[in-house]
Amino acid sequence: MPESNAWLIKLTEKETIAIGENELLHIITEPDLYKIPKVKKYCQHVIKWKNQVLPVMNITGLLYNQDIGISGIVGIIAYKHNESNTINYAAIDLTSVPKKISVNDKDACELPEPLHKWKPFSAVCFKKNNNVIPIISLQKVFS
Amino acid sequence: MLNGSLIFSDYQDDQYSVFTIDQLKLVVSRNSILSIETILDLEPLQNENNSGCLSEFIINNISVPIFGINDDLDLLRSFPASRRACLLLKSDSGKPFGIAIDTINTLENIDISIHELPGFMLFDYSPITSVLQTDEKFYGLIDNSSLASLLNVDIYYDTTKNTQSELIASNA
Repeated sequence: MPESNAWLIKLTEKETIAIGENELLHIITEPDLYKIPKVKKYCQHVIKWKNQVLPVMNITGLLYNQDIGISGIVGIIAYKHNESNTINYAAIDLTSVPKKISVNDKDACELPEPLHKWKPFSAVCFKKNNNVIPIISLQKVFS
Repeated sequence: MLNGSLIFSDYQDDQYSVFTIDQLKLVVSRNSILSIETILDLEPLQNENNSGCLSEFIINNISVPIFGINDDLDLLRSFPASRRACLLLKSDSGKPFGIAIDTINTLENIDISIHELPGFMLFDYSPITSVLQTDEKFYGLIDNSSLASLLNVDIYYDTTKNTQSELIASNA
């Protein structure tokens, strides 16, 4: 069965997600962030990267619409914009360094009921070591 | 989106001032500043009102409400000791207002670029919708009218006797 690589991102003790191998470009530890007041609680910071200003999304905060705070690690990601089909760049807050894994097509599965909260951002998932991991659509996260 | 959202770069026709409120550094277009005053010149409130303003400043015969805010842009009930100046701002509605600030300086002769924040970050009332970038730093760019809405400046003017003609003159 075909295999592909992905990044496993542990958001919290209970929440782990995956994104495509080519979507994570760069990891920055101790990033220099600028906080914007009176914006959405899950995306309150921006970061400078290659002369661009990128929003920093806290995906757990987005999932629960909460201010989770910000950790000391940020991942620079790339995704294709829904409408313009152009490549956009943004940042996601990471609580730890992501782990690269290999995913076999035979491990693909439907989102089980306990993970339905991820439905707005994920349509598919896979099984890994007895855990079910949702694959996140960055297009949907940054829309 | 921020990618491709560069509004302009190295734009020198407009000039900006950097001001601080606690840990927050913001910029405002100098064209949208009515005046900068020392906080010692503020007048005590003449009338109770529900606007949340802490003081007034008389300019061109009108009373301008002065607000105390923190670095989350939340209203304060008194001016912290670090507030030393008052930034009087114009607004699209013609109703000027002021905020107490710690420091203010001009951004002189440096290259800047302004980047629009993506819509998914913002509320309708978000007063910072762009970020000004210099070589090393970011500053939130204040939209005066959105800040006026956030601070409910209209409530102050609804309860004071400033005339429309005086407001237009003061905001010119």
